[in-house]
Amino acid sequence: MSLSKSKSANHLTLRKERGIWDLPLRLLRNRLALGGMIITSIVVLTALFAPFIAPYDPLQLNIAQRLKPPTAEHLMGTDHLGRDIFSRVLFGAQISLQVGVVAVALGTIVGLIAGAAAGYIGKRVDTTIMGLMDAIYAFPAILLALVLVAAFGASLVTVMTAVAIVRIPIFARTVRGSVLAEREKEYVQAAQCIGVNPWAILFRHILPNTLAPLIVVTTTYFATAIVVEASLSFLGLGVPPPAASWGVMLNDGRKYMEAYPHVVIFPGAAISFTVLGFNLLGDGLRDVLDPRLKNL
Amino acid sequence: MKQTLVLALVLVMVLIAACAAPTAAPTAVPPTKAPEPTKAPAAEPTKAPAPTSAPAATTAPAATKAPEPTKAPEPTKAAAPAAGTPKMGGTLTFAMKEDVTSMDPLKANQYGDIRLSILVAQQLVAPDRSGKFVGVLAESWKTDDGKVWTFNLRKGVKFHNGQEMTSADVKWIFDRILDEKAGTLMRGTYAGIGLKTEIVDPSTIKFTIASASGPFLNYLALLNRSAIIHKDSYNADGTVTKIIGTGPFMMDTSKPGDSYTLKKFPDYWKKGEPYLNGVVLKVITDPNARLNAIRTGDVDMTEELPYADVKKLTEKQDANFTTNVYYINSGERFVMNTKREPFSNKNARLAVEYVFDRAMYNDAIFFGLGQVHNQPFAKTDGWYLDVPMVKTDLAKAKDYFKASGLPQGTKVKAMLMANQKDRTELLQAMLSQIGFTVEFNVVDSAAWNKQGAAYDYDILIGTMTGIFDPDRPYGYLEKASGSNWLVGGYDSPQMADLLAKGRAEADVNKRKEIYKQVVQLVQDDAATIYVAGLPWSEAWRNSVKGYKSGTSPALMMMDASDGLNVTWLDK
Repeated sequence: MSLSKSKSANHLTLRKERGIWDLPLRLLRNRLALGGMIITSIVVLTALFAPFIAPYDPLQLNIAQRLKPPTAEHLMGTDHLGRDIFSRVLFGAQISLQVGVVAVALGTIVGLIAGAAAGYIGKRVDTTIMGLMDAIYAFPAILLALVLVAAFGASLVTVMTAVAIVRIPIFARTVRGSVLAEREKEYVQAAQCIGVNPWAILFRHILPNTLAPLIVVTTTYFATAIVVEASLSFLGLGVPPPAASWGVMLNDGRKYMEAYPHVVIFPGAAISFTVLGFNLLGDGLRDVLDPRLKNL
Repeated sequence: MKQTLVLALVLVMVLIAACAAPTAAPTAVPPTKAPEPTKAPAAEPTKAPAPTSAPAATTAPAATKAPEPTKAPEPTKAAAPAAGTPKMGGTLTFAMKEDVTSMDPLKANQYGDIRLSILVAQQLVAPDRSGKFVGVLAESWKTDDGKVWTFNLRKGVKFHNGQEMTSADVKWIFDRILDEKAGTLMRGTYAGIGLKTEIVDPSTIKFTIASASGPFLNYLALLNRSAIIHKDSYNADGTVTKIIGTGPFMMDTSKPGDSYTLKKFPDYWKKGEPYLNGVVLKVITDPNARLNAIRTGDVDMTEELPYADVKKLTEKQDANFTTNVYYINSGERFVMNTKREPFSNKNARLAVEYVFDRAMYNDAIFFGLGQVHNQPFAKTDGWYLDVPMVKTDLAKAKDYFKASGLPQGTKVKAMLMANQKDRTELLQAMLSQIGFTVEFNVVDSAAWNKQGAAYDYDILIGTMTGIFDPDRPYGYLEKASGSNWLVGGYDSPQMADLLAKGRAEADVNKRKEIYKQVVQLVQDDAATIYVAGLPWSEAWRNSVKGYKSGTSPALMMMDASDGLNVTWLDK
């Protein structure tokens, strides 16, 4: 009796510890996650304060000063039209994050609903939704995004939508898997027995218990979103001019990179740095949230 | 399952639709191919609106011109090639920047088409290096009043299938050009002057035109679009898969998208030519890839390298190859849509004209390699007229903007193709100085033509090549021209009057006076802004001897300007 009592108390504290609310604290204790958090914070802060940090107007041309290598005056040099690359990289962070946030939010919401519905309702709904997801998933991400942008025209909104859509299937699958697993748990059966509304069960009971893998997927989703946006822009189908996203800068600089490598190194590094940050954060989160790994 | 299928089907259809657009217009940047900004940007669009955009003078040509008619010079026989005795044999590999879209010279719309056809098929006449027309398949010609033209054909000219070329072949081609169903590019032009052909004897052909036209020889020489090819070149469905021409090279194998192999035509009418055993045209659309190919020796020759590299290479030549920049009549122009606000307002246009900085444009886009000009002729050309250029003046531009009554921040929609992004960003920087805000509307080349013709733009940048006579570029500046949209729909009675006079005048000096007034009026009205002549570049490895860069858009105009026919390899 006493044994079982203490066990359940233990269990309770464990559950509490594994809740997501003290996540930031636990993240700080994970080195990977900490690194990721630092990097992503730098990127976010850069994007937020770009207008204050940037020494020049990112669209200001200065033909006389074109293709200058990095100097104290131009930290990352200038591009083929004499624009300050440092300022452009800073403002580029805004676009990348904007695309990331909106695309991820959109993809997450749609993926969450689709996955949850498929997993919880099951049967024909499951077959239909997952069939649809498989169909989308069958296309390589970039190709699908290209098709969407080509069909609806290049604009920031299309790019964000395209980026969102390509990742929906992965998200939906993750949600569905988790929901399927949770659906059979006792607490769900209990809720069903006392006649709780099925939607309430899904949203109030099941979903909170599936959040951990979703958070991990979301962070990696973010990294993908930034890469897909950059790829689309690189292919000339991304963010329309004159906005300077990192992919656009890579594309512009491609012609000059042999003689003036700095025009592509810095935007390229910015992409790598950001993606690395989000991936580290994602890995860290997984370590922290995965119950199979030892708690830190 | 059914839904999956339907969705998959829809997606596939979208995909096909998306892919279909770029293939229709090869210069559009297909999604899978990285964009290629250094490509002469709108060279195609100007050509693309097919028949009407060819010499715009389809409407009201009149009068006599007949430039040096009876002279009929012997084609300038290759002066002994520059260094050493030519070696016979060898196959030269040439990197071409665009693929061939049509093998039919009569429908050679795109740059790549002309590149190929010019080596294989020939016209009656062609301009030589000085811009003077010389006979190619025609030995001599005469005209009395500019209405009746009699051409004596060169004798002993054989087609690649061994048959001799006669006046019947010439007539057959011109009948085909005039046949509406054939859809040739020059039909509108020739039909407009009421062209009729008549066989006099096997080596004499007579052209009669209803209204005498000064630029008739121009038409015959324009971009190889009146090339005489054998009728067996045409398949039953009217397409061409193998051109049977009279040129120094004949077609061997074609691998569209990859390469075209040509071999020496042993019965070529110029004895002893060509020196090469064959030419391989290799399609390399990326300028950086072409640069690498010439560096590594993958190709012996290439056209159009990235401007930034050309700048460096011409300053200090590479040890293994020579890079050359040359100029032909061609140019980029900045176009404002005069049919709607804000640029229906002359003051608004003048404001732009005064803020437009050609030198800066040339520096930014062409790395200073272009020729800043106010008329689309090379500075060495006889038609480059002495009309002072408008000087950039910001204060004046602001005054005109004020006078236009437009509010600050007036939006103008720039229609551009992806490879014109730099140009448009530059325009935005210039125009924002006086109060315009430029909005970017990026389209592919098909849409560019469509929206352009529908006047759905405020500004655009166009390019033009294939200019021998002032009637072609300036002819656009009247409503009657099918290419009027390429200069923003500009129209004025004074201009129409001058253009008609220019066409009717036969005397070259008098014509020059007329066209001086045309260029002046273009500036006074800010009708359109001729910005700069394009820098054309070529590079060849040290083993390539005797080659001289061309002087016409067809560049390798074989007979007239000693191109690849007298080039040899010393490997």
